[in-house]
Amino acid sequence: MKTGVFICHCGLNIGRVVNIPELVEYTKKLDGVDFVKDIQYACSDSGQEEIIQAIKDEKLERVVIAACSPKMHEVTFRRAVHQAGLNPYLVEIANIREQCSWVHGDKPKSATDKAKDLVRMAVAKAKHLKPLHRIKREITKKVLVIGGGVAGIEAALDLADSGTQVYLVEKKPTIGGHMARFNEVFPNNDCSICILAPKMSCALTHKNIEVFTNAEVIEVDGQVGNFRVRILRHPRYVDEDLCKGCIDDCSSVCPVEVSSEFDYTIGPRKAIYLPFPQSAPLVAAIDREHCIGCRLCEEACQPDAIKFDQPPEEIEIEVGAIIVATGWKPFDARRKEEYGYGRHENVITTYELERILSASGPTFGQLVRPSDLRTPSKIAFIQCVGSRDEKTNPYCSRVCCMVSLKNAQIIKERYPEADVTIFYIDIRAFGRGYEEYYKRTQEMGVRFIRGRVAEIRENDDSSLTLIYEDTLNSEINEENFDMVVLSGGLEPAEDSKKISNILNIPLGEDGFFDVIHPKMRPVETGVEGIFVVGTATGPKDIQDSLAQAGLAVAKILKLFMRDQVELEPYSAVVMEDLCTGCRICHDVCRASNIRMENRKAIVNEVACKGCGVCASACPAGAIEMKNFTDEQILAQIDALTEERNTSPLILGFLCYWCAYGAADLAGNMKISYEPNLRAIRVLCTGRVDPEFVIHAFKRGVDGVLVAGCRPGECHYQFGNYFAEHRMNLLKDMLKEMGINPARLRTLWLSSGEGTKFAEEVNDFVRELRSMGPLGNEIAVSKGVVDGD
Amino acid sequence: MEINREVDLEGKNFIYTQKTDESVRELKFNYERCNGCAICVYACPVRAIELGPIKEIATGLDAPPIILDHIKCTYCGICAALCPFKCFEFKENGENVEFPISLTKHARIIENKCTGCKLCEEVCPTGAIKREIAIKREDFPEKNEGLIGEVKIDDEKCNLCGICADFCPAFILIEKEVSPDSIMPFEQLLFDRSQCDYCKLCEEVCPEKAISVEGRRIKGELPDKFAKVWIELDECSHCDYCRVICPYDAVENSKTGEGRIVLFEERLDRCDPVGCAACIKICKNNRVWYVSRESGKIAYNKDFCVYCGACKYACPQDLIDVQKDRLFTKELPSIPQPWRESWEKAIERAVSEEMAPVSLRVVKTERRVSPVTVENQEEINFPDPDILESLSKKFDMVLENLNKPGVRLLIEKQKGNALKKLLEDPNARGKNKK
Repeated sequence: MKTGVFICHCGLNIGRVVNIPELVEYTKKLDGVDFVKDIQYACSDSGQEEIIQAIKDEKLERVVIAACSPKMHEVTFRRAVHQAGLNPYLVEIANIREQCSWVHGDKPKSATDKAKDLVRMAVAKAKHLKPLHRIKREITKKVLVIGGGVAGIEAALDLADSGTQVYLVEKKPTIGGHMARFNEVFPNNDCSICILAPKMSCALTHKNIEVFTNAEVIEVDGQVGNFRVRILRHPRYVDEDLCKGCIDDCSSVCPVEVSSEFDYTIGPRKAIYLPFPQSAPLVAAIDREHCIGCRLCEEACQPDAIKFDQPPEEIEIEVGAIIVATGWKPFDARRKEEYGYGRHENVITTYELERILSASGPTFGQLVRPSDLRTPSKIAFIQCVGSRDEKTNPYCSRVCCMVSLKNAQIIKERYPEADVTIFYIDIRAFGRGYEEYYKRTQEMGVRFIRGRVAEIRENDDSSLTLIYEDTLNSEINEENFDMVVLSGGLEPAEDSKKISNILNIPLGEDGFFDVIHPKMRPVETGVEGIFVVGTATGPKDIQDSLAQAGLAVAKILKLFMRDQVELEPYSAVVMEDLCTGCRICHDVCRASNIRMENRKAIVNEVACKGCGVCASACPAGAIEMKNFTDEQILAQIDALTEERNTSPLILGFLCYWCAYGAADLAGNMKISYEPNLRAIRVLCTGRVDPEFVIHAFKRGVDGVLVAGCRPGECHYQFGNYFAEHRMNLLKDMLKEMGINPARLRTLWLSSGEGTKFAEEVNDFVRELRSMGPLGNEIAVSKGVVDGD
Repeated sequence: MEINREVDLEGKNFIYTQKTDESVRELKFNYERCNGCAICVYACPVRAIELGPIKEIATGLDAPPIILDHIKCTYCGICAALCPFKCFEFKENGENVEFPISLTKHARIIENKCTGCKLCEEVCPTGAIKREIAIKREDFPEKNEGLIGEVKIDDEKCNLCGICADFCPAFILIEKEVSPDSIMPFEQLLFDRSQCDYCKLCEEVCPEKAISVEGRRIKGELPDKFAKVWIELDECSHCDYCRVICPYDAVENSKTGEGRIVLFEERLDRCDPVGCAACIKICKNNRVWYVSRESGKIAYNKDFCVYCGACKYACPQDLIDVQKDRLFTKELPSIPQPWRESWEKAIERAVSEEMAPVSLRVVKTERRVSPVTVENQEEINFPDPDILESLSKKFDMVLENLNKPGVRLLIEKQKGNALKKLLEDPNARGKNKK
């Protein structure tokens, strides 16, 4: 089987740390490698062409690409391999950028050693890759979605999965909307970006979705089934295909620093910037408002992605239906002058607090107040700022109560000593489980005072004095706080009026879009074929927004008549001859996609999402997880342990949705950590068969890290729980054998926790270092070696 | 990418340079020419320029009117593009840069109207008018010997343009101080009979035919034009003196801005124009201010003002306000590049005299992941082979147990005896169980 390895320099992004000539020479000597080539930019058109040509010329059958994260370009390379005449699933990626060069910049030698290990593991897996086939279905109809927030993305994805072509138009340089910037979201306190980022990248790479960022709709005519739409794409002055998303090179030389609207102005950014580390597309943009034309970024950018002469572009499309998901904008708290926002340093808005609490925000999740960057110990929340207020907005913004309850909980969880007070008029906790959530917040020790705050005064030490009426006790009080959070309401998005004119759909008096009937036809507008979803029709929470998105999709599909879809082939499949009919897989599949027939298990491959919980419970090894088979993973472990390039040597099993994302994020944020980890990607930690872990220890690794989503956030719902109890058992087993159970570490984190990931790896390295190589503890206890 | 920024002083020029591997940008600032009008201070998008002690400078201190922070400076060139007095020279890799937007720079002598007279040159406050006299009396070798004649100057016709005096030493102009309220640089033309040989050339040289001579025309041709006159734009402040004084409408000039001067008349008693004269001194490039003969107080002639605003900052009593309505600019025709908007805003700020905005507050902390080790200090340790082998045997037993449905079932059901079964020796008890 002829295997080719392509090693990408990514300009200097990989090349400046990893010694690529050395890596190439090393790879050439690897068993079973027939062809090795290094490429400046593998993802560029010319890079892809080189790969395609080499596959054809060398008659390659398996391809390994050592480059950036598969989250970035796996789809690109699958396409390229397919163009060369191979099955698209015969390519394996070694992530030597996000999980190597970008995080080990201070240790080029170790990074090169790690890259060698990662390539060797990928080659080993590649040998076992099998051709896979997506289930193909025809597509004909098209939909325009205006607004790339969570509602727009959800609608776009649902439509795209049904086979409908979608154009997603977003005004900002990234999709994701407000949700992408929030820290955690109620009622289950999920990490916001972690549940959204997969959808963002899916929207971006989905073959049925064309995303136009930095773009706006300027003209629409025609009627249902046949709208002609003109889109104006503003230049971002950065070539989307050439930019590698490294951002440091250009933005570090940019002399213009402004406050970032993506941090709700509390954090800084440059005139050339990425809105946030998880931006999709992961491409820099130049801000027309602030760039002053020093041209330093142009010099600094290695792939020459900066294009100052990029003209605006007009695009004409035809669609059958339109979804308006233009969302909302935060109330400008300066309008409530008595609260001093903009004058008093330590008065911030609830949106700024979201960024401060976010692990990828300007403070990396550390709660600090602006005046001295210290953690405040006494914090007040003021509710209904710009809501239920005759002077600003008479309506209730619905979500702010829950948002403040949530933030109060998070602060109490992270800083149990903090004194948190919420000033409210009424607490409106209206959804399922919300009242309980309110109660829980009270029980956590958060103080609630009923009454509107009349005024905030700033003291000499930057603390704040609140003057308020406690309406339950009929008292007028004054009290000091370190920081005040204004719970600002939701207002109609800036361009609502413009969109209303272009689409000829009316706005209500409050500025939000009107629908035909608020109860019976909540997403339909006066124009047939145009739907409005999410906060564009008024304040609502994420779940209501998504429900509306789904409803609009259903209405559109009803209009189009359902066509066809295409699915990733990552399902489980039972190898009949090996199946012993023990039913364990049937029992562990919580999605009930496995049935028993004639004492053999059968997987419903269309419904199976591929978590792998069944395969890692099967005693007979009879279940094959496509693209993540036992033999592939065991081959990776064997390949890793063939050599030993680092000490302690850690093998990681990273769930693709959370832990792998967190590791990539650490890369995007260029956080250096110890280079001892070698990761194997799995779709879910539920895929981690105890056999894999035992096999790894048997082969002499010093530690195993199993990292997945936080409890309750598993993308397959229960996979991480399976992993946890299996790993706990294995820890007990290690202990029984005299091995320190801490050599097996589990880590549950969100894809937004890049810093935490790095810290955990460092901590694990520190711990393993103190234990010595595997088995050292046995030697010590037997007195073979002196313990030091 | 490495960026080096340096500053150097060469005479009255500050030279700021930014070097990278690929480019050198040089900003030269001539502080002698600068009057501290603060247009650049407001226009600078990164607040790299501050106004110096302008009141003191106006009353005699020798210091640069503006201070530029060469580290903050982005070398964008906005200051150079908008300076009305051309105090900056901006070069990229040694070449002049064409700015996307810059202040208009239009003034010229209309050649076919110009007689080559001396007036504009005399009144120009910056010395931007250059003049080359084509011929003088002394260039003619012939001389009337012993001839007695008569010279008459028609005062009605004579406009004191000064050509005759430049041409022949027999004419003497009596100069007077140019003042904004009386811009004529000469008050009288005198004739020195002892220098005259009645050659009659002056008759032809005078564009106004104001001189008549009884005598004998010596031989020789006079050129069509007495002198060549032009404006050096890099020195011109577009004050308009030349255009106003020219008797032949031979000057075109566009001012760089328009607006209003407001003098706080009610408080003028505080003004000491003779002792202080800050406004007069600071307005060296335009010469707008003077001491009124009637009131003895300060006064201005707005005809010569470009509304730069320097006097406003110079007056120690704050008696002057200059309100800019607009600056006149020209734009480079091209696809709008990403910085067009920032440049337009810089001009707006220069007009409204607002500083570039700064972020209200920026909250940012350092990430805190500390490395455990330093590269190359770690050695690679291998597990003890004997221990690994004994462990390996145990692991193989466990792996074998994992192939048993019964053990797997205990694991998945989280039964308490799962561990025991997992560690059991499969050869000892496994067989009979199956």
